[in-house]
Amino acid sequence: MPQLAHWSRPATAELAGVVADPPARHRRSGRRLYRLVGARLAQAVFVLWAAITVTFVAVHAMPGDTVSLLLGENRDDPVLRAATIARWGLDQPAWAQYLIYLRRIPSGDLGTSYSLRQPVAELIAQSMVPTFQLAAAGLVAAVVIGFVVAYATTGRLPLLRPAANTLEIVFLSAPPFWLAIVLLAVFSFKLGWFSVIDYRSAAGLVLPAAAIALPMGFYLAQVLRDGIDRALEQPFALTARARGLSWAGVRRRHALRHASLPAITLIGLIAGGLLGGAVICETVFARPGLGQIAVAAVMVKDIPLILGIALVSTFAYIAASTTADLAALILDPRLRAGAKA
Amino acid sequence: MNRTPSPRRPGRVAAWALTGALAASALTACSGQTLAISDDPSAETGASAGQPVEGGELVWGIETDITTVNPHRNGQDKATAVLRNAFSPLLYRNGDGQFEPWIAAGVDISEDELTYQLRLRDGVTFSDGAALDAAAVVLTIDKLIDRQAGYVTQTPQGLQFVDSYEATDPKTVTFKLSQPDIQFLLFLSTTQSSPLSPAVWELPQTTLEPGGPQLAGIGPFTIESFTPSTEIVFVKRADYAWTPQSFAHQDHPAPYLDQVTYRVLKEGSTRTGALQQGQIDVASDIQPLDVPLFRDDPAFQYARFPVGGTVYSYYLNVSKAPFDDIRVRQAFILGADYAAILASIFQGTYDRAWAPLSVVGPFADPSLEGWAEVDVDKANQLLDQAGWTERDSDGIRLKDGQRLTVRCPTGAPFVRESRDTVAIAVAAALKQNIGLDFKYEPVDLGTEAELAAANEIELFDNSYGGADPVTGVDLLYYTSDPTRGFLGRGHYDDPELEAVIDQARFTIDLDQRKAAYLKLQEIVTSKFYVLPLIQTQDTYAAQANVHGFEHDTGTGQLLGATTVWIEG
Repeated sequence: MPQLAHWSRPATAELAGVVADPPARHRRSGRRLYRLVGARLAQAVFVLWAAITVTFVAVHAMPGDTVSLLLGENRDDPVLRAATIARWGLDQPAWAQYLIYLRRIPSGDLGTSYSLRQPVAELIAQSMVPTFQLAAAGLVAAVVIGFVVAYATTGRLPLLRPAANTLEIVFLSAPPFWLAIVLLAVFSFKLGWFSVIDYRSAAGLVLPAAAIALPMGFYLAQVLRDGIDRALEQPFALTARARGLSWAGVRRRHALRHASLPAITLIGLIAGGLLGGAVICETVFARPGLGQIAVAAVMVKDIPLILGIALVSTFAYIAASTTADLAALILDPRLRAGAKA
Repeated sequence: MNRTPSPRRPGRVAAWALTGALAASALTACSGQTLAISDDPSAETGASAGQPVEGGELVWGIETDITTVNPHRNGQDKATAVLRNAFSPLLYRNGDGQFEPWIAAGVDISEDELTYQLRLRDGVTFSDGAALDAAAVVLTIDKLIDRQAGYVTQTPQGLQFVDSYEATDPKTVTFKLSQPDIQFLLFLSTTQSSPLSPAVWELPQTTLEPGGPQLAGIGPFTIESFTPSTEIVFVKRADYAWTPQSFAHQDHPAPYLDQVTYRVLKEGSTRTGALQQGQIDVASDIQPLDVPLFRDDPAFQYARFPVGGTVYSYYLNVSKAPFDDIRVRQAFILGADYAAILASIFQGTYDRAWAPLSVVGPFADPSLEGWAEVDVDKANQLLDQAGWTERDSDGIRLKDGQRLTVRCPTGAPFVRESRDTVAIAVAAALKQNIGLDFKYEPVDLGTEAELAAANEIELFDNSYGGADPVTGVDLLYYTSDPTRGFLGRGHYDDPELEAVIDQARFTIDLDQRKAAYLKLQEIVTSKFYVLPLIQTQDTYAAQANVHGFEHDTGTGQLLGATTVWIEG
């Protein structure tokens, strides 16, 4: 069988090996689907609790007395001070505030933002829509880029590999905000193709989604190609070829499928962390969303809003990684066999 | 400096309509341009643009993330020009220091300056159709003054000495003060006292406090939508008909534009790029480096203009070493060529400030120009005399083993207009010239507040805008009373200074106020309490087909979008 040169950097190869593990883990952690989901739910509750607790401790450790920050110039006015303390429940010790906060979460009451004075749940619900659009567009584009590039560069066009490799290095090593600024400068301010003002239409989504998708897509391509290369080295690839399957067919029907497993875990990880990318994109492209309110909340120590955003982004992370695990289960017959047994 | 007495002594009953008219005749001829420092003659507002055109929609890129569009709750200096589009004040404080009627018809003031009869115009309506009457004003004041309800956390200083207020007839509200206070009239001239419709007070607090379309007020526009950190959309209110007498657009109080969208674009480069591509029509706060792009291109216009208040200054903390010694303060102020540093950083896009109070308004003191020219030799002599004679290995002066260090922690959200760059250049110059270690550190607001409370700072940098310096002066210099000197990190506790501050605040007599503020500026400069650095200013750039920018002569800021129109 033809040996393909090993182009990927060692780090990626290692990662591909690491993230290729989940099948084994799944078999250990739960033999049935509902067990997996049940374990994941318990895990999720624990992780959410831990995230809230850590964030709560961290924001309270931030310098600055909350009452004084809320009062500004009037921090020495006793009447206003008393009214503010009563209104925001700041007369309670921190641990009591913490317990009250935890108790309110199940009913969806995340408190009221100190700075924007709207219910946190409402603010997050509003801001989630544009962030979700951005994240979804970025993710879909990244997956498309990843599969197209990986598939194209494992073929028999030797010139494509070095080209893709150069792009990979550029997109992976460039700081995300730099890439966003360059995209904005070139395609909006120089060529005038996309308006930065227009955030409601699909056209307004192109550049920010590209800023997210390009580094992610090429990262994915590396992992996928590495997986394809490994799969093609396996005996089954030779067998398939011997049975008359075309080279392209082996890649498409067997190797790509094998390579998808680590890629899907990776996509799950990336999707869960998309909020971080959204912060940068929303700032540079002046888009509304969770990232914008997160930055503003931290700047003014808006504790209820910071906690709410921490809760939602943790939830998003858990949801994305659970979805990725389920997708792996569907894709890998070995996992399904384990589940049936 | 205009020291001619005001035409009428304020306080004379019904004087204002007249004073306003007098001021108007002088101002209408050159409205906006009396104050504008324009680098480009073609940028002069509306000069040769022909007849204003009705209609059109405009997008205006702004730097400031407006946190609330409730006019009473918003304390952001740069929000004024935006919020006035939907919330006109009762009065207008003009650049001469006089007050004119706006949506009120006038104020009758008793001789003792303690009773104020606010008269309302007939036929003024809120945007929801409700009539503006005395009861509606009283209701608004009720909400503003009620500290228990916690509707506003910024209790208006102007209401501090209001003993009572009531509707004495359906169109008159009578306020009784326990002592004269210019803050009261100034308060009536801001959006923070702009009356809201009685129906507004029925809204839930979580709708009322952030503000939005449901907040029916009185303004040339109404709010169509508000998306925090993103945009505020205003639509024209065609039946708006009230305007101060000194405004140029007397015959056209309603807006020309059908709609104006203020789009929050925090990055300066984004505003510049979006304006260049025509994605927006106007951009505020142009970065110094981007100025030539608009100033030198006929497709655009650019203007910069000084704003009122206290200028961007360094306030020296006199309560502790090393600045408890006046010689060290003088050495700090003489020890670097601040004018040269500013000139090299801003390339002529900002002006050096010499006086602590802005050049805008009646309290400017041009005689202070050049009061502290650089003199490195003298600065070094002063430091030697003060006992800072040793030097460490870095060349920093020592006294009794202590380094000559000046710390200036500053709230990171307030670092703008290249203030950090200026500080780096200042630090380099001071170290080289006089062996002083200047540490300027942007920190989060909580950290800054803690350091200030612990008096762990030697220097405080600040600029404070507004139509009148009275608020900023109280905050920065009245340090013996923490309820007034909230930003008094200089710890001056100077009875002579505070007596002057009181003279300027607790009267409405313009001549007395002018004299007091001249004295104040003399005190704080001769005692080296403050180093005025940069004349605070606003800037904008716009497409060449946008016309009609008009200024508030009191604050120096733009009035808003009411007078702006787009050439077809």
